[in-house]
Amino acid sequence: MLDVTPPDARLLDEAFSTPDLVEGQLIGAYANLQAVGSFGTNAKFAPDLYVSSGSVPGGGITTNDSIAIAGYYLVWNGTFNSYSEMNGQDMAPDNADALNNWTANYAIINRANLILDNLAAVTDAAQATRISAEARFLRAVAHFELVRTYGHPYSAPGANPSSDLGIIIATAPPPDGTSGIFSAPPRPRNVVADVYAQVIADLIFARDNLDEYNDAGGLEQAFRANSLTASAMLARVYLLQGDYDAAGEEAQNVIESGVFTLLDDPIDAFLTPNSAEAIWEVQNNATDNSGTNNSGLATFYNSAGNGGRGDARVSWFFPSAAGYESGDKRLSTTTGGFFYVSGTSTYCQKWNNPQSNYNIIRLAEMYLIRAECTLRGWGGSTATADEDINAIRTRANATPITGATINDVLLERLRELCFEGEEFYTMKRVGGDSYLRPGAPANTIDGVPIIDRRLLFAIPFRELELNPGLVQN
Amino acid sequence: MKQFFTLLGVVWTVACWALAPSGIAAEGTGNRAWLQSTTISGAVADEDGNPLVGATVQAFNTQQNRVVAGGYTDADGRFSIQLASTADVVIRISYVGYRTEEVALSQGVSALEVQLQLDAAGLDEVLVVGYTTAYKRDITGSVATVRGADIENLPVNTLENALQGRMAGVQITQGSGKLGQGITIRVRGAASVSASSQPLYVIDGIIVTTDGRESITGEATNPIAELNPNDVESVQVLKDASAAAIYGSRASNGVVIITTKRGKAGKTQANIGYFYAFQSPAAKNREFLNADEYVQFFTQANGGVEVFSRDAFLPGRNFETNWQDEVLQNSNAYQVDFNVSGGTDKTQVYFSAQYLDQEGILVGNAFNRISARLSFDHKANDWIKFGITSALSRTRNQRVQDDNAFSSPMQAVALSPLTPRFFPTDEDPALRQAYIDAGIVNPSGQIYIDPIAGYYNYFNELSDGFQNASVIRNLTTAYAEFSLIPWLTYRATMGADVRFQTEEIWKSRYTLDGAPTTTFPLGGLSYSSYDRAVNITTNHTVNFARQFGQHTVSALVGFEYQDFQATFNSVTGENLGDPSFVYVSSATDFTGGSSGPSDYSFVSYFSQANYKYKDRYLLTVSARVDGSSRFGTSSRYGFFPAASVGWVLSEEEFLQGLSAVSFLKLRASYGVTGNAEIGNLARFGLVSQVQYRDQAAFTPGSIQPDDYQWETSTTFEVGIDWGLFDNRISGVVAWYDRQTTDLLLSVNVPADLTTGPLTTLRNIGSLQNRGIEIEITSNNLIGAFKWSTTLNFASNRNQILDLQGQILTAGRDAANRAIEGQPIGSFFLPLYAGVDPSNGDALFVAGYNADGTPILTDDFFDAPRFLAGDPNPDFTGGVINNFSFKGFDLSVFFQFSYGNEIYNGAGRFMTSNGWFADNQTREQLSEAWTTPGQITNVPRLDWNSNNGARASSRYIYDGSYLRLKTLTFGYTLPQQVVERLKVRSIRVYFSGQNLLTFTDYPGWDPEVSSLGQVNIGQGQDFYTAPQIRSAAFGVNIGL
Repeated sequence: MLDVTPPDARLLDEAFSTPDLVEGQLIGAYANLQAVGSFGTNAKFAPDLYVSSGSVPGGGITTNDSIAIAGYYLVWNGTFNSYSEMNGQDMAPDNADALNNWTANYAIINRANLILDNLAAVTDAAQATRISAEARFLRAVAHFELVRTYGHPYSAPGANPSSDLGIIIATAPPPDGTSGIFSAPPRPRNVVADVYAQVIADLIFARDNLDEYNDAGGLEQAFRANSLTASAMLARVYLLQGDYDAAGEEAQNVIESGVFTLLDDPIDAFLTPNSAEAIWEVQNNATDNSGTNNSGLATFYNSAGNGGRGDARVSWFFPSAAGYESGDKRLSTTTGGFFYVSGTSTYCQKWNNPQSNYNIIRLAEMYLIRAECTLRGWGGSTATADEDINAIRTRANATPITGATINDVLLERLRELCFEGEEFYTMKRVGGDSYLRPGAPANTIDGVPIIDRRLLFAIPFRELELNPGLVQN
Repeated sequence: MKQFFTLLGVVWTVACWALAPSGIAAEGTGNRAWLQSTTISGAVADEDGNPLVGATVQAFNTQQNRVVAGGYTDADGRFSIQLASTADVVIRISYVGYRTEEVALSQGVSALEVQLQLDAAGLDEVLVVGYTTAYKRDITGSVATVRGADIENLPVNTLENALQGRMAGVQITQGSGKLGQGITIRVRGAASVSASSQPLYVIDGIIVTTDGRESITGEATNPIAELNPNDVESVQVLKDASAAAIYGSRASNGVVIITTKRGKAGKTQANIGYFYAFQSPAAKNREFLNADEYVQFFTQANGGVEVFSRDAFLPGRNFETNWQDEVLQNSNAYQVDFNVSGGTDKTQVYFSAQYLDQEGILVGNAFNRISARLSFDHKANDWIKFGITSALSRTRNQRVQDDNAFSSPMQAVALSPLTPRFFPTDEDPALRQAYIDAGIVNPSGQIYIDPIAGYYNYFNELSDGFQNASVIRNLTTAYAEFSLIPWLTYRATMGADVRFQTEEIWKSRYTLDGAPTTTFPLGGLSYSSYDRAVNITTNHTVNFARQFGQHTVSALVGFEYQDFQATFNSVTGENLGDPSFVYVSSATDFTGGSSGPSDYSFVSYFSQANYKYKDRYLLTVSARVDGSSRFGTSSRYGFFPAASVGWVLSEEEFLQGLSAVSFLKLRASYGVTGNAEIGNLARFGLVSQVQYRDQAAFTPGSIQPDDYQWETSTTFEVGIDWGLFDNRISGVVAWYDRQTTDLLLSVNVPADLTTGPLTTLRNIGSLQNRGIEIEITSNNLIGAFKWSTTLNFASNRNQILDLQGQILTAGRDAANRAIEGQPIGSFFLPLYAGVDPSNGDALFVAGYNADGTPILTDDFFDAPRFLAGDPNPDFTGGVINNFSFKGFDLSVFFQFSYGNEIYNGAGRFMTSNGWFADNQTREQLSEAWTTPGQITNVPRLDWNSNNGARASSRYIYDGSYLRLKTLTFGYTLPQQVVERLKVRSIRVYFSGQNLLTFTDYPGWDPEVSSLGQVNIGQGQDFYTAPQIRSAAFGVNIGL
């Protein structure tokens, strides 16, 4: 009379007992990318909030248009206090999204670690290797997002990666059950350099053990990790590390593979799920997505008339600060541009549909990474920096440039990759936001020194209490 | 605040002094007589000589220790019973609220005239205490009682509302003024940290379903909202371990026993009732900025440069909207009620029907209930009796969003006063179209999003959506009782509680949730859910009761089985298009769905024995064994014993001389109860399946807990039940200490050690509830003008004893937590330390110097959390004064809570010094820091930056209150008038709820619990709707 069996759920200790169950666990780890604390919102959104606290160059705030024109990049007009704190470069340890990022990324890491520890049922060696490589890829991505959010930059004026605290490296499976969790020793934060080393080791393993197309499940190139996804992420990691030779090689590996092509219209990389330009995307659809109403990138970035809340708008100063030419397709607010106008405000169109994919990384960034690496002295490129930059410019109907400088690349990155969550880290890496705001003090972002806890996420208060090994930023 | 409590004390003291002991009633006594086969008839009246209708008349054979015949008084207060023999027979006459009289039969006397005396102390009241009944006089545990008659016809929509404040130690909190929402009941404080602290509900001997199905977007519904309060004969709350232990593992949180009305023998009587109520918000409005002040506020916050012009919404046009007035409304309610009761001494029936229709004080909120009950009892012969009660009801609830949603009604106050609710129709059509195209205005002209404050307009939820919940519920209880031999009874009870709940939600394309997307360009969202809960309980008891000289012994053994099965399914559809299509069937795409069962079962064996010697020495022992599917095989069964003793001193000879003391009983009890209110599947570590890119994806559902056992509470209680001056004043004083051990804690897990779940269940730690309870009932004046006073007072100290370092937090901003050595739910937040007089910055406490002085900082990052407040009241209670004179009756009931604190999480938005463009509370404008050297508690206004609007003790307020909970004034028409109208009785009345509230809480209502039935997250206010004040005018007609 007292026996109740759990309906429609597997017991934990049976959850890895067949190869299909292990594959399902792996897909489940990918599904975590949809979380608010991961690429569902914050990985793409939070860094951009830090870029501009709403100060306006050269003037005060005028009546009526105050919301639309404040700042020079992203204008935060919302009332989620967690995001308001980021925008004010003033995050408190009890910030809800400080916790969201921590929990979402460690969930991915631990799910990957659990898979890596439970491969016994996968008897096919090739399959086991592929699953390991994908798991390590996901683990690397999550560690990387954590370290650049909570830790000081690897490569920046004043950064000391071998002593600056990053985050906890987790490579062992999480304890099995409640008693294991509460007998675990304290876990201190590892230094930034060690975290990068772990990230790179995992990504290299993934790059070297996955095919160019991951045919498990037989779906789009941009769905699951493959060797090119790993290369693209490595390019990003090396770039932040200031290792321009390695970054250039990985970016070139992706470009030269011929698997991806730049689309004719830059915005199509966002409007078309799994397009030819997409290297990796969060897979969203109508029934399974990152949230449609009170959270999710699209909710924040879109106007009321376009299904959003109009919380994140584009400063009126942004187009001129970024230096778009008048004929640049990306600037157009009517056809195929990155922006649209609703009411008196400008909005970014890159994240306009919560029921469709969110791009994580795409080919255009590879061209810009390769161009920058070339300009910074890497000699391995099969194209000139001008050619790479112009590949991006010409499809946008912008005038080709010759004799590109590093500043040109940085501005082209701004024009092409704006509101994709990378700008903040670029600013830290290159010594401030002066390429966007000429005359701004060196080594500051919006007036705040690059190496300052105000430009870091706070270690969540909840975690500090639970883990005596942690210290606050 | 304090003065009101002082005032209460004075009134009470004066009342006590005004008392005068009056004469002692004579008691009918006589010689034992011997008569053969005769009819005994008589009349029963109250002390004023008015006939008592429906009094119970029993012939009791003292030798056989059983009732040999019985009946009820008729409409004239007369009775007649047939007796085979009058040998050893006494006639026992009882009536609720009166002292039971026993009349021995004298030879030749066949007509009795009996006057019953008011029983102020209720000592002869029969209380339902679990599976048996007992005289209050003989009870050694702690039982609180409310009579159905005291709570009839109140303009409330659920029984708990009517019970609020009437029982010492039973704290009832309605979370908000939303209709049909869940209600929190705490019997002597929270006995658990993570498991539920709601009491067990037993209606007519059957454990009923109390876990309300949570709506997809709303708070939990009230599980007994389907019960018609007018059907309630009595409510008993078993508070201590001795009383409650018979319910074993279910009883740690107390047991609420509801007995419904049944038919009475005698002339068939019917009652018709009707009331109409005018309702309004019970508490004052918050003060927000008006349009001019709003402009001024943000200009000041922006260093003198204007942020919003007066015509910010539409250049050249000044609007002014008081959103608070828009969303709160005055509303109406009415109730029609009918019941009929009657029968013979063999068969009795009761039937009732009721319809209640209530509109909320929040625009868009409404509740109605239609219910009927039929009860039937039949005595087949001397030894078989059986009966059935079946109640069927339907409630319909137009619900509103939970507090945290942007579409929650009270969040409308965040909108700017500069914004109109509708775009004016006389404006330039092209401009109007431009606003519509921008999505700021809907085609109807209603504002969609306030472009100034950036908030969604709640009214679109009403014009373009609905959220309707409907419950159909049947509670049927049947029993059969066999008196096998005079002193041995077997009783079988079977109950079915069947509940169907459906919920339909629709949001048109012009709402936030239904707005068109690229994927669903038609927009619109519809949701439909269905929930069926079938709860079958059966119990079997064998009762033994026998008197041996001066020894009275009774005992009970029993078995109970409860089987609960629920199924739930829901579906969400999107892309509905034209707003005339509202149901899921019109959707082009189904975007969500769920289904699945939720089952549990309990098997229980129990036994109880009572022993009484010389009517003065009392002993009760009981034990129960419970097994539950919620526990693993190693700890599936729990054992819950209890014992209690009582000593009725007033029966002792040495107290006989003390005539002032009419009743005095000392009692003590000790026992163990349990708590099993954890998740049905909490003992499993589970993985569930979701989807990702149309692939099967597994997601961890829970961490595998270690084997856990029952959470148990051990309670020790001592009490004194007393009566003075022939029980003109009587009462109870009790002290208890309840220790809960092996807490089933839902503890925080470090995120870096889990695959997702952030809490797990651990079986460690302990907590304590200790307190005193005082109940006093006094008949201050008797005679033609009657005045009685009832006071109940309870002070409970909750303390977490041991958590072994576990961290448990709850509530908005994780403001509440369980801390060792502190009451549960204590606020733990950075301490706000006012304003730096030099620059107006908000200050917080960073730490303390060795001498104890605080170190202040303006950098919130350096402000750790400290103990910052306590949401638990120091004491609670109520005072009821009843007056009557001739046909007039007046009842005045004050209820109070003292010393509890409230965290207003919404303060970070509404009192944010201009961090946001949310409309701001008005006092900031006059009190905010403006000039160096200024001493104030409100930091400098600072547009768009955070100066003090952090989660901190700044938003903790005193939540003490004194409330005129109920005021009833009635007039019963004189008999002569009534007779001419050919009816039995007519009473007209006024009944008010929440008419007055005295509090220092600056929010809407101090009676607030945004999070509902929680243990840790208490005392939270987040745009929580105020309670309802209602003034009802009604009439009752007896036929």
